[in-house]
Amino acid sequence: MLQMREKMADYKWPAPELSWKELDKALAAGTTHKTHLLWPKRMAAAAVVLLIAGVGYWGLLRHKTEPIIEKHWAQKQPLQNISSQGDRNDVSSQTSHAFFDKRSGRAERLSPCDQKKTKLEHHSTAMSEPEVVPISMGGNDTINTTETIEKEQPHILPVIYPSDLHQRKHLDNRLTAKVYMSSSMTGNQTESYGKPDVYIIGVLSRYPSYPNSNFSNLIVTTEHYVHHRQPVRFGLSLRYRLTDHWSAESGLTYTRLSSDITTIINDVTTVTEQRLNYIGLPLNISYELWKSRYFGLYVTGGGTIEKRLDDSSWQFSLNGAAGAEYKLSNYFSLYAEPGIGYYFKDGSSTPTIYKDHPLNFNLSFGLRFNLK
Amino acid sequence: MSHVTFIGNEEQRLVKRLQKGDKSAAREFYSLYADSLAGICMRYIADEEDLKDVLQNAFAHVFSHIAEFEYRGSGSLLAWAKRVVINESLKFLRTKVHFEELQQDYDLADESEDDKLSIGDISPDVIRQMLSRLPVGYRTVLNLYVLEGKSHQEIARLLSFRSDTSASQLHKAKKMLAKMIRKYNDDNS
Repeated sequence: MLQMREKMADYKWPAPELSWKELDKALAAGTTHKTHLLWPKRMAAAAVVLLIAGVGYWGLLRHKTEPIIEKHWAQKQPLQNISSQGDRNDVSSQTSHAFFDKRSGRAERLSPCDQKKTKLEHHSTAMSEPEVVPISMGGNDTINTTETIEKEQPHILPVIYPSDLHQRKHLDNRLTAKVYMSSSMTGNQTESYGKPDVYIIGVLSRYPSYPNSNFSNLIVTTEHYVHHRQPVRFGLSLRYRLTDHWSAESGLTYTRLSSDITTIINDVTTVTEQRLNYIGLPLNISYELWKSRYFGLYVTGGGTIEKRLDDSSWQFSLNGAAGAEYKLSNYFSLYAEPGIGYYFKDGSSTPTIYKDHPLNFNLSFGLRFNLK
Repeated sequence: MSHVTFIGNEEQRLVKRLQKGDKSAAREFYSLYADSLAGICMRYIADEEDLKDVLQNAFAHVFSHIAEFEYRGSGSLLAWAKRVVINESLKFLRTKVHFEELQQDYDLADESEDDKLSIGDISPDVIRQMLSRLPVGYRTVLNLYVLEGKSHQEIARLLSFRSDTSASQLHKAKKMLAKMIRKYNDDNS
């Protein structure tokens, strides 16, 4: 048989004439991936992905620098100086809404810091001129520990701070970073469909902030501000390619929300950090719209159920996004997914950014690792 | 039989021209390799009309996927094209029309398989004719096992067989072929 293999190794047969019309078409189709065009195409694709990521990030940063509380207050709750001790006493046990409305006749538009400073100054006068303690209320502040700043407060009795943290006004938005690692196994039926992926992504999202109208306090000059920090989400996901175009993805996520709650009571400023931890189970379906050798466009959508670790509440959310992916090599892909998410009420009394701002735009981007 | 040989990196240049969509390179590829590829295809596909269809598909596949081909030294282009031809041939044989025929088994007289049969005096063309007289399933397995060096596991995967089916078909193919060779040698001695 070895003899036969050698004898037939170079066996030739007069080839039939083939249809060159079809073969020229095939040749033209084959040159769509011409080597000399690869790099320009790669650069163009990478530029698109980076552009999407850059625009989204710029948008987030741009919004982040806006003093949202100022706008809001100017529209709904113009603040004015407290003119007398009597006024302050009158509003005891009223909501903040009522508190501010009562003074609307003399409203002035002030920035948050100005408002606070004005208020503090006023109370300084009313309370035997304690020293004003300016604090930064900018969106970029990061205050890591709980601290109380008190200077010369001879007339202030010990204060019991409200434990209900939803008595607040929101100062800032949120920037969420999300990192995923995911892998999937190949299906048994059709080996070409299964494509395990391990990938890393990040999420940035921004929520505009609004003051909470449900403001009640026994202390007349108490104000609450909340500075939401950048929540971080990590996850491990499993993606399973169902068909050439459709794929399903699920896994586990861990989300941490962190907020600085600033309470100003007369001339006492207290900053408290609130931390919420969630474990989530996402389920997403993706549809590949278009794909070339190095570049792909897809849409993805689904839902996530998250359980708060220190509470019995569950958080449901829906998310939809369009994604662009650029294949850096056989194993790594760069991608960006601008999307929109909606968070349902979780039924708990604890306020969250999700509850206050259920609808948000977000941008996911990251690195995906593909295992074949 | 003469080998196609290239001087220097002519083969590599041909690949680059094909990857740029050069039509003259496609004609050159055909003139250089078409007979060799038809020879491979003929071992699998006995009917000449079918052979033409399969070769047409194989050339179309080569040209439309030439961008994915990576040149790895002299002869690598022809080796790749041969694999494409074999794949296209098997794809044709796996189609519904031929699938049952592919798996068909035959009762053979109890003749011993003799590996010591000499084929030294038999021309490749006569061997090809003998192969073409084998049932399609036997011919395909014999081609893959003997001429391509595939294992029974690989053949079973390629043809959606059980591996013992492949071994059984090979055994019977060898018997049939041995009978033909003996007869040929007897007739020409």
